[in-house]
Amino acid sequence: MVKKKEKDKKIVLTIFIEGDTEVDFYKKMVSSIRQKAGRGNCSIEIKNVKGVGNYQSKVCRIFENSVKQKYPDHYYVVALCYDTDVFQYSRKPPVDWKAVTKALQEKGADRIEQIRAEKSIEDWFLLDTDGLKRFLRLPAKIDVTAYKGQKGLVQLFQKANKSYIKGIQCKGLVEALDMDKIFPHICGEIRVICDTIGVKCSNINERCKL
Amino acid sequence: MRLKSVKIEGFRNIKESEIVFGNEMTSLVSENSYGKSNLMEAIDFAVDFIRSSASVRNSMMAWKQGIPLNKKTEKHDFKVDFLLETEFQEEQYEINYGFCFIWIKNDGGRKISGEWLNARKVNGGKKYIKLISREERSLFKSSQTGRCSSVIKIADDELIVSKLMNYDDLYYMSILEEINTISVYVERHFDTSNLYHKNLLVLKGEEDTELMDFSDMPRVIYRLKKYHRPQFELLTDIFKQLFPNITDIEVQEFDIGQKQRINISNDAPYTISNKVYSIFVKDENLNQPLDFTSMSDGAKRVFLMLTFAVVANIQNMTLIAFEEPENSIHPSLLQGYLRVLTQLAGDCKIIVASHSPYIIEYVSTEDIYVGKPNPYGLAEFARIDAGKVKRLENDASDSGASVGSYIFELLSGGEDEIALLNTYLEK
Repeated sequence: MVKKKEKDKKIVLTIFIEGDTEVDFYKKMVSSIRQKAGRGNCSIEIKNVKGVGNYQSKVCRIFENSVKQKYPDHYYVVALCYDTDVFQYSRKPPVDWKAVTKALQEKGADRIEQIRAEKSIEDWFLLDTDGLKRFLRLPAKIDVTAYKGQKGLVQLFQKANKSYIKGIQCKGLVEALDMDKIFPHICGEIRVICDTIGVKCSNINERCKL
Repeated sequence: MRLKSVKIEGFRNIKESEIVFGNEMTSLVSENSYGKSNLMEAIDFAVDFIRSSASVRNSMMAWKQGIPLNKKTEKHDFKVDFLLETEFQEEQYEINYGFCFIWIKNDGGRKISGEWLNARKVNGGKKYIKLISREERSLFKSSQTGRCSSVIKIADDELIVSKLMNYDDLYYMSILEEINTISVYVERHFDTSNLYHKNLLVLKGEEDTELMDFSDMPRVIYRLKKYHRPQFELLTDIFKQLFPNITDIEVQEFDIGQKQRINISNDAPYTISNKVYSIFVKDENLNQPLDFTSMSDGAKRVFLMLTFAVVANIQNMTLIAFEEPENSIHPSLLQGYLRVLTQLAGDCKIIVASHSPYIIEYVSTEDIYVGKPNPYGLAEFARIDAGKVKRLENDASDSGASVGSYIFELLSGGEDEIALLNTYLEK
């Protein structure tokens, strides 16, 4: 929570994500939360950190040159979003999240949280099986519960003779997903977003116990 | 049949090198003119050798461009050793096949000097069953219960594995067939600009279903669409994902309908087709479709390599090799591009020769083979030791570099850095 001495400052939440589809998903998530619970009392910036190069220096560069420039003298909340699983062709060495947190603190971030998709954001997409089946034009009767994680989503796409490429924009996929089917399962993970916007989780998800 | 590893020596400047193929693509890194291409060419040569007739093999054993000239390896025979995995009698088997031959020499040579074929169950203990052996005598196993003791008369330029194809009743015929169809394709088109033009020439007798003539990409794509529609749709879907401005890709056939006026001799390999093809793309920012020839070099190369991967999968190829796949491609595309190539190629293994730290940043560290610098001009590739991966990644992280940049930094450094690089490699 925002400290007392900072309470008069306006808040900006910066969400750092890697990948085009992931960015689309978070934009839809934020928009859905705001539709249900109001705009809240903070600004939100969603930043894509995809591509080659050092993650830590990229995040710090964006935070310092873009976020802080656009929102001077704000209370800065940063959410670092990532999957807990390791995938084919992920960057090496893997990101050192503690070092990134420390570096952002040194750059002036007030609160830094991690949004960890267990095991991958594709598991979140797979929570709306009906939406996925509609998007892929797969028969409604097909059982997709056995498909798990990024590998499962790739296999599901292959079933529809399509290709899912992690990190690359998949047009129409996120639009096809129903966030109401996803929110109840990821409430704990995205708490920092609800918390910073200043909404009660129960406004968007009646099953939320937080 | 999946390729697990290949060991090769006695070709140009290659010192014995073993490449083990993992789940991701395998990458070779080294200085320029070290021997990455020679290694790929050596594997290609070995596979060609298996698939060729005896008379062609005879010429291959005297092929000037392949003979080792380096003083350290000039006496080495050509030797290749494949480890493969396949289903046999409803179980998974590991197959070890290889051969060696003596290059042409002033006093003779030009002779296949050894050949072996062994098989064992993947989960059935360590012992191999010997199916073919060629040492003092040439032997093969003629029945499931017998030993590898049946004598076969074989000429110096014949391979037992090919000759046994004429024996109908061998219980391991399916293994022999698979070995005889091992296939490798090395992609070397750095300049793809000419591959997308309409091309009138086709090989005489070429089947309409032929997909391997990449010098006429529009024709290949047309055939892909006609005979392998799902794969064509997958290919175009992926290309559109990688290049989001592209909304559609279409290939069109044009019937020239003209009587052939140019005389082509009966001996010539090509003839003139009365059909030509063009690929068109629709770009959301353009007011009309664009001929693929007008696309950027990078887009052309990406499309070519995606097509390679699709065709390799259709044709059950064993291995495809890409020389510098990063060429003309923006680094931001590389990660998705590597992922999709692997998806498209299916069981076909991919090996790349690269000078890009960006590619090396993404490939599995254990699948990186480094050309060990040495003063003798030899190409000796060693894999990053699985037990040293963590240390390598930590060291790269401590120096603020990616694994790719770190390896290239060491490779291009002085003797201290080379010595450090060697500490990460398998002995």
